[in-house]
Amino acid sequence: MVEQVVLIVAGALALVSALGVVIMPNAVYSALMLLLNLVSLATLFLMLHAQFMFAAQLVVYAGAILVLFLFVVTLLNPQGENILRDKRRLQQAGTISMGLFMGCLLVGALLYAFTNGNQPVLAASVTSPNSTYGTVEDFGKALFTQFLLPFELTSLLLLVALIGAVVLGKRK
Amino acid sequence: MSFLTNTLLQISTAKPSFSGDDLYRILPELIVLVMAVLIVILDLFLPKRSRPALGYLAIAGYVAALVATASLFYYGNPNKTSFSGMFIRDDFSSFFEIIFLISGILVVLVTPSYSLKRGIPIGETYAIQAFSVLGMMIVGASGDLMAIFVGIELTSICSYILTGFARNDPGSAEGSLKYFLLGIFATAILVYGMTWTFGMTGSTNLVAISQSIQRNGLATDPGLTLGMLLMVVGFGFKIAAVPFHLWTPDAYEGAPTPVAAFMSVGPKAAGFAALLRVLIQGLPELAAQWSVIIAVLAVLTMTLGNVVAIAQTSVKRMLAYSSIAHTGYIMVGLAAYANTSSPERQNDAISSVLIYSLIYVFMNMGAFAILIYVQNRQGGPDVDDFDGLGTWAPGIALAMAFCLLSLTGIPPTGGFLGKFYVFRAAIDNGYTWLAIVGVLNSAVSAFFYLRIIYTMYFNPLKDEARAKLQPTKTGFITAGVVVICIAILLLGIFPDPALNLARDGANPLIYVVRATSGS
Repeated sequence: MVEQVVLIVAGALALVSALGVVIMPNAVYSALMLLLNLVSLATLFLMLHAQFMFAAQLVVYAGAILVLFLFVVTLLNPQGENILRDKRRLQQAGTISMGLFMGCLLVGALLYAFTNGNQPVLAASVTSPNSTYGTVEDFGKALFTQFLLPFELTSLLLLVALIGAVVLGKRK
Repeated sequence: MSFLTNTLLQISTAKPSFSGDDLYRILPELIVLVMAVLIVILDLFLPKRSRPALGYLAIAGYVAALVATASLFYYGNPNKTSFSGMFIRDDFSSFFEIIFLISGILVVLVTPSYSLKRGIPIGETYAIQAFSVLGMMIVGASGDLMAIFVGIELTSICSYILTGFARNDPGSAEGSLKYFLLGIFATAILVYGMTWTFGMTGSTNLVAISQSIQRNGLATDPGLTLGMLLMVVGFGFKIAAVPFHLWTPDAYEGAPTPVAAFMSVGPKAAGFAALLRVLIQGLPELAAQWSVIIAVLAVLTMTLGNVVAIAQTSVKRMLAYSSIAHTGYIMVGLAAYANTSSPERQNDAISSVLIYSLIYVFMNMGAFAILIYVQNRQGGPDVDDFDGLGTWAPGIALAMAFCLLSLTGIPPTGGFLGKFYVFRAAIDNGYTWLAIVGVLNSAVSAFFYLRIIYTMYFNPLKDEARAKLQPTKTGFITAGVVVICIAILLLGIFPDPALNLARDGANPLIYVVRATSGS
């Protein structure tokens, strides 16, 4: 019962804040809405027994990346400009209607998949009471045994991104 | 359900599966990795004027990796997986490694004259190209969605960075930013599709996915279809299939020309490798669905690419649309796979994709190499800049004519055979209409390819323009062009060795599919 209440509240918050990120007229508010969104998603992860994802979501996304966003927004200093106000009305209307159309399509597909399709294979195991799926221990083991190769390759990804950032950001 | 507990047990009790055997199987990748890191380090210590010498190191690395791949291929690939199924060393991965390494070598040959003239950092260019090639090799050899994702991202991030390397050119930054923003959007869609597939089947391993689909009767499940669709969109962006091609003209036009040449062959082939692995190895049960989607996308891609290419005045932009059109031709071969259950016919379809990708590397690289030469001499990439190339650089003009005829698909060039195999596979497997659309499109494409040949031989270069021709170093480019022309000619008149390699390369996919379906 308590779980369901938390689930509904966190889910509703995630939806509303996600909309807020897009609709808010000021970039700082958008970033703060994103923070709310990330925290409610983290709560949803916790509900699914994914403790590691919960912690990573809070520390990495809400903690580090969002602060970076706020720094960039403050440095660029948009001066209260309404980022939603586009002079080309027709193009803006087109963008919004296209976005709404794609959104409806995706929501429709999701609803159809959940009502008409099979129960996702993973769902049953994740929600069973003595499941260890998503614990820190399981996560670490999977990362360093089964997913060792992609994990190591990620370090190359970061190296390339670093080199690129240095070259592209260097003064001429 | 029992399958699921099995997977969970596997995860929690898995030992670190990592031995010397694994290292031996990823030897070509390790060689490229060591070479790339060496270039990064040496670039810091070498004085500026000796940095171009790093190109020799890059070529040596690629050639060493090519030798390693070839010997693994020759002595029979072990057909075994390493790193808990993440990495598969089979003939398929070896064939794609050969394609990627050849495009790596060719791009090193065409880069220096262009980059040095325009002050583009050369050491970093070589290093990031090498990392990109490494990412592609991982994609071709991966047996798991996670490895495919990391490999594709490694390649893509390298492409975003390389596109923005011409820092004196605002178009370069614009192209890079557009490519980056659209690219991460496509990546998000791709990951979302992988998530759905993982959620429905309980695994990221391609073989386990296809087994789970059979065991749980998921073939008609809408959730899995959604995952498949989203993944096709994501990979479609990487191979520049219409309607996910919008980044292509801007990114190619803004990027330094050698980078555009590289992006048009390497990452595209990597995208096809990923599509083949995921669709044929992971989702064979959904073939009836994805085959139709790929066929429709192929028609759109061929038609739009060729029709829009006619209207271009810049050769660089024209080659961008032409590369979109060629994506469409290759997709015809992929669509043809699904309509048949006979292994020989399936092999025809997959091997036509492989051989076309190989031939395409040579002919497209050739056209871009000569565009780079003309840009070095004339300064611009427009059709007018090819005026009278037949008189002021007859050898280069002849090579360009040869590459363009190959791109059009006229015998005795390799391009003709590539198209022949792809369209034959389509006709044999009941996609006659698709082959007809392809042939009609080839006829349309003749218009803009032949227009350049006409310009080269029948439009004279004005005297004042001739006086403005700039000197350029041609050694590397000439070497590259000669290699390319010989390769196109050999593939055109003596295709059997390459075709046999492609047939070997196609076998593992069919073998895996038949083993999992128990026939």
